[in-house]
Amino acid sequence: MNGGGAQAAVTGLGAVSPVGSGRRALFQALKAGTSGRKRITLFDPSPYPVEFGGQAECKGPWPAGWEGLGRAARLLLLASSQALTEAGVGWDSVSAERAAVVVGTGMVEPLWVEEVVRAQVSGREPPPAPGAWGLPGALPCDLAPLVARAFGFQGPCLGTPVACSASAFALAAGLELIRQGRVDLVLAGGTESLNETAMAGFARLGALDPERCRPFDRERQGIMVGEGACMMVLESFASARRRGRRPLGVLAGYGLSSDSCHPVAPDPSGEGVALAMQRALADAGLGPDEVDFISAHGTGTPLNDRVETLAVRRALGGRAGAVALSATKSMLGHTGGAAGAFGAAAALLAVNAGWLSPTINYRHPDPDCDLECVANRARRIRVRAALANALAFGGSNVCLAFRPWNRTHWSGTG
Amino acid sequence: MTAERSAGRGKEAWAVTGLGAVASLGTHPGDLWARLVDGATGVGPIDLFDPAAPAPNQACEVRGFDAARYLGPRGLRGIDRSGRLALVAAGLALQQLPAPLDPLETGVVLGTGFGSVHSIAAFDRASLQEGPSYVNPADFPNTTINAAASQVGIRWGLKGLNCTVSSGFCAGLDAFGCATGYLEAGLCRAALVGGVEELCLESLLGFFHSGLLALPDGEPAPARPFDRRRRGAVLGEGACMSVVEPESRAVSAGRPVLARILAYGSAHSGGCGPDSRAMARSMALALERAGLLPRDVDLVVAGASGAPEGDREEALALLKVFGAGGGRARICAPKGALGECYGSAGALCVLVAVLALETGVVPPTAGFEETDLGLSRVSGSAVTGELNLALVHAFGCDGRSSALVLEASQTR
Amino acid sequence: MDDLEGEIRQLIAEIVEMEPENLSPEADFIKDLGLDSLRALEVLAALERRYRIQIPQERLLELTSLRRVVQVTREVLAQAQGAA
Repeated sequence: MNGGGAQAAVTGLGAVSPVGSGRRALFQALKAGTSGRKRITLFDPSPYPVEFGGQAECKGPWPAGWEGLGRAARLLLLASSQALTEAGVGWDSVSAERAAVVVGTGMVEPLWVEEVVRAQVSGREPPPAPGAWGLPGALPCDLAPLVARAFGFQGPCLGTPVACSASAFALAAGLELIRQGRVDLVLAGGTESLNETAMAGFARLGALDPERCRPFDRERQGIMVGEGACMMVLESFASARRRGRRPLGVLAGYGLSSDSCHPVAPDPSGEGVALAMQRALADAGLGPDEVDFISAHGTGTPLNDRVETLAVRRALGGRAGAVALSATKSMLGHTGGAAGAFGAAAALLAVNAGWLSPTINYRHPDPDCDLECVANRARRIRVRAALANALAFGGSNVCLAFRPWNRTHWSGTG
Repeated sequence: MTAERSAGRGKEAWAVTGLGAVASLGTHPGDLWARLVDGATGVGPIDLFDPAAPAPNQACEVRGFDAARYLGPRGLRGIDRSGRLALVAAGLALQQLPAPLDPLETGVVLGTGFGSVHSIAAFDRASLQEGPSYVNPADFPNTTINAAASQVGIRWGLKGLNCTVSSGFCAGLDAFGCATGYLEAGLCRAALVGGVEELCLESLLGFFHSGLLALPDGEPAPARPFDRRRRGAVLGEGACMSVVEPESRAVSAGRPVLARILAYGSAHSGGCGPDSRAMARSMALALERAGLLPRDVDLVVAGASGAPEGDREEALALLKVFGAGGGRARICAPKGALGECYGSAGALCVLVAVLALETGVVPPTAGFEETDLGLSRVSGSAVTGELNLALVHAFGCDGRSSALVLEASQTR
Repeated sequence: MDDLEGEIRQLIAEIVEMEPENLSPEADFIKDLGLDSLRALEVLAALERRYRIQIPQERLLELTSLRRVVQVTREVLAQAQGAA
């Protein structure tokens, strides 16, 4: 059964995260339930009520031309390089003109803006302003061409800065480009660096958990800030087969919807999120009974997790209680524009190896979040399909549907 | 469906059934068009802020912009200039429809370059000057780039989907590429599609430091796209939104079709700087997907802004695709009059194409007298003629290029 | 000291987009004025900024009308002065 059209093979994954760098390290940490929580050293966290976050390792030595780049840009290039290496992409086997880049991010390179403002506030000469053409990676639209230039992509080159669902949007847009027959391969995902804008904003909203991030736990109090980049190589089946790549999994479909009810809060009924999930299932040609895992948006705020629970019930009906669910943000923190792709990575791990990554810091079941939470320890089961949810400020929802790859995909369409 | 997809556009075209725009030349599509055809330009001294010399004190600013005049006094608090521009453009587009859309099935796809870098800087300034506990929490949502699109969705309860596309100079055009994909996938049954960019000190400095802006000798002066004496762009601002939906649906709902969108193409150079080869490729891709030949095109709405290198590369691409002199197609570069509106520029160029196809008038390229670029069909004054097919092109100094092919409405 | 009520009235009127004179001291922020949680937080943040005080987040629920806001602000101001 094939709902919306062609599906895409995931042939590579790159990740720079608070719990490690590289696909293997990420998968290992997700299986182990590793916490990425540490005291932030990227800036002085002492003015904030919480001094901890998911800070990624992002160290040189950098290739020539990378030194002057913003942090989000460097995280992105590292993850992109890993993904392309794992997928074995070379322009002899793939047409560069039929290869696209789509990058999601939440903000303008915030550390740069902060530095300019800091200079203005203290009367110093501000650092030179960025231009999209000098490509310092400071603007949301800069990031994709930065990747295109670094690795030689010549197809469509897009940014999808849809706040916290940005990178899920990027993956959806990537699948759409393949379906439309515009490209054979897409490098898609997202990046975000830790920054004081988000720190101040979430603190003022009272949305930072003072202790630890514990999505779906009754005592949860909010998010932990995080950072990282996560990029996937999506490929048409024909292209992956021609290149002899064994896919990690299949991006089978996506659903989008918009709550359009409030700038920061989700629709309390969960209707919008449920609609995105239902659309993803239909698009992937899946029934609710085939879903075995949900990689939740699960931020750890009281409202989000309650709404997401309602949405899962609404979307999956009687199946909801039987589906295992967990939140990567308990380990990584909220990686903003990269969060959707990290959530997708957990879904990919599930369809790839049957491992369900846990929600760590989980102690007190919440009657309002009464789904089957993968608590603290990873589980291994047979996974027929996994969903990954991403919700954003403004209520823009994305749901991605992944399936395991098997040899019959080679003989199918796409 | 799958076969149709891989073969390019299906038989059905996408209809543009509504237009809304706010730009320096006018805060209504009709006014804007009349002034554009008249040869007016939006260039003038900047009122909105004090530009720090040596940055140029001129821009195509939306002067005296007051969103409350269009949207009423309430509900605008905390919405920044980008959001307000987008809201007014969206409101104008929706208002024009003789039969309303179903908000539950309508999506929003908005292109932008900077988002509101000004709002982010203002938020950071408050946090750094007064301490993080003294920021206004209601200003925080403005620091994400999708704030303007979200506000449009919230204001009219448009729940189909809500997507922001950021691809610099091409964003306003790429929004159409994304939106038609979402419509084709059945994710929404109509979409408000377009772009927004606000003028602010941060963006002015960014463009200035990149060497893209013309520095006036004295009085503000328009840019001169494709002209021999072009010396740089003039920064602009604005928002433009179109209502796009399947043609059959527009017809059955009684919404007149203003123009038809046939196909979209997009490419990147793989390098940096404006690149004629990537530009030629995106134009060829769009034409190929529309099943058309270059000689079928009557009008090219170009992305030339008066920046020496970019205009040259675009001219090279036009010569390559359309042949000697630029072939038979008329060429018009609206950025001479509207300024470089960055993330909204592509959407404004779509509006120009739609109105040109509707009226049979090619607006003048402001500031154009004679060219050194081999293009014979650019004109400094308005030209009338039979216009059936238009190609809108956008390109960036980041190596990007996108093209959209439109056709005149059959019921004109 | 009754400047305080006038000042706070002004500040809240701006946030709820009303003329200050039309703002009844008893009007319920949520039921009568349609204030949502983000706007309520904005009221709290504006008070803190204006008077350089810290209102504990848990008192947010008490900020239900102009009259209650003035009361809470007076209390917190008095405590701050007492502590100083």
